[in-house]
Parts: sequence; structure tokens; C-alpha cells
Amino acid sequence: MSKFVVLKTIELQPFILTTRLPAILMLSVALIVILLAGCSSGPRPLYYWGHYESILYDIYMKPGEADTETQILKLREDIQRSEAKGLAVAPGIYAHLGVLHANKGELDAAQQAFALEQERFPESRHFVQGMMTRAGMIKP
Amino acid sequence: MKLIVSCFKKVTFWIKLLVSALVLLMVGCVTPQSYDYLALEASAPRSILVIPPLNQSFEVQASYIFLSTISRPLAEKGYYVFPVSVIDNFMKANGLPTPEEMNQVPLEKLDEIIGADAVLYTTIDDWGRQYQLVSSVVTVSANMRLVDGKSGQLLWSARAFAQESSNSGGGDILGAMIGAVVDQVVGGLADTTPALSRQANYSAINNAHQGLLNGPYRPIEEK
Repeated sequence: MSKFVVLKTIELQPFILTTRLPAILMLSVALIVILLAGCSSGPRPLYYWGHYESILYDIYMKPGEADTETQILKLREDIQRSEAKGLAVAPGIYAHLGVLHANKGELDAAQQAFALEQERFPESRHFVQGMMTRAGMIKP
Repeated sequence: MKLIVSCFKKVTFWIKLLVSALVLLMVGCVTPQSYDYLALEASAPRSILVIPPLNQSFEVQASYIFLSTISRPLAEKGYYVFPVSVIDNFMKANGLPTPEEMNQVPLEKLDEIIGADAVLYTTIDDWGRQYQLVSSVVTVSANMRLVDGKSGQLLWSARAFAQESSNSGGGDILGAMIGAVVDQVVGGLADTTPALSRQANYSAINNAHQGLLNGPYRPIEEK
């Protein structure tokens, strides 16, 4: 729309105005864009969240729908989807998955998940290593 | 000459329009005061441990509904968030059956076992649906305090608040009362507090002037 006006003025108007008008327009448009960018909400997402929040809700509010097997299936599905979407697996998800596997006695799967949590988020190392030590998965 | 005048009018029109647009936009953006981020910037935490909230509302499950909605906005802000239900289970397994007890754990103990850079303590003061004559209001309200994981110094605090009112029928009292009754029946089935809680936490954390600063996983140039 503004492009159209600019073109028209360049063709029709005398020299001073033709040089000023587009400048004013462009400056203002740039200003508005900057201001709008400052106001805009939602930054780009870092992670794919999938079922995680609803699993957390179900654990406490609908425990019948959040047995260990159901949680594992949903989290595994989320991990696959996050890869497909090119988004990282959210912090805590691998650690949560590791605990679920450990509770079922699936120590290899637990170990793998715990390793991934620590690799992606070194901040988790101290706590995850502690859990593994207490569970007898690694030596203190 | 005529051409110049009409063009001049055009210019002044554009300038007026743009100035008013700019003023409107700026009014929309401006908030009076910015949070004092000195302590937060000095501590620069990478990870956040969320302690299950103290509940001062009448909704028994408020703590855990809140807990299911807090990881995402914190992590999307760029922080490592310890898995909330793993932490909750871990504390329960170690003789802390409720959030009340969990909130009493000394910081040194948390640091020794979990090693979080910062700890988020929350108190819920209002949660759930209140019925009025012709409508009902759902409220979610919590105070959050983020403290340094070692020194306990306050790094950031905020109030997460959201409210939703439903009133049915435009001015028709009978219709509205029926609406409220239907609301009560439906309200018993559909819990809207998770959505409200999500909204409240997102707003508190991302508020332009009082919100949390970006963590290490969110590039600095992004809001």
C-alpha cells in the first residue's frame, strides 16, 4: 500500500517533496516495525513439549491414566516427534523417563535416558548421578 | 502550485497518521517501572529447582496443578528446570510427604543433593472457581520467589495471576441464573485452572519489565 503511494509521488511531485516523502515514510515504517517487534509476544520455542505437562497433571489429578507404562509410551512418542520437528527434547524429560525405566527394573534403558539428560543438560549431572548412585546403578 | 499544495496536504496527513500510530504503539508498550535485576544478573543461574508450592487456597490440589504448568515457561525462558515430579517423588520417598514439609528443607541440603543454581518457592493464595448469583469466576493467584541456591538471596519475585469470568445471557437474569447452574455442573467436570495457571505463569515470567531475565539456553538478543 505504502509502496504504491511512494511510486505515485515520485512520478508526480516536485523535487523537494519527492525526496522527502519516501524518506519520511520509510523512516516511519521502520519505526513502527521496531516498536511492533518490541511489543510482540511469543518468541520462537526452544523445545517440543508434547504430553509432558498433561502427564504431570495426570500423575496428580488422574493417577489411573498415568501408570508407568503409559508415561513411558507417551514420552517416547514425544521424543520421536521432537526430532521430527527439529526441536530439542525439553529439560527433565529424559531424567523423568530414566526414573520410570528404573522403577520397572529396566536398568539399561534407565542408564541410557539418564546419560542423555546429563549430556544435553550438564546442570542435571549432580542430581542425576546422585540418583543413579543411590539406585546402585553406578558406584559412588 | 495546486499540485504542491495538495502534495503538502498529503504529507501532513501522513505525518499526522504516523505520529498518532507511534503514540498509540508507545502507550501500548510503556510500563512504568522495571524490576531491579542486580542480584539476578550477579547470580546468573543456569538451573532452577521448583519446590512444590505452599497452598493457602481452598483447592486441595492447587499445588500440583500449578506444578504441572511451571516447567515449560521457565525452560522456554532459557533455564534448565529439574523434572518437577521426579523431585516431588524423591522428596516424598525421603520423608517429606507434603509441600509444607518440602518448603522447610534447608537450602544447604537442597544444594548438597540437587545442586540447583536457583530455587523457586511459590505460595498459592487463591485458586479455583467462585460462584456468584449470576456468574462464576475462576481465579489463579500465586506469589513466586526465586532465590540463589547457595546464599538464599532473593533474585526475582513475581505474582502469577489470571482470572476468568463466565456469565451467560445478556442481561437476562433468569437465563443468567440458569447459566450459572449449568456452569456449576459443567465446572465440576472441566477444570480450567491448568489453562489459567499456564497463562498466569507465562505472563509473570515474560512480563516486559518485571519478568524473569533470559537464561543461558535462550540467546540474549531474543526477548
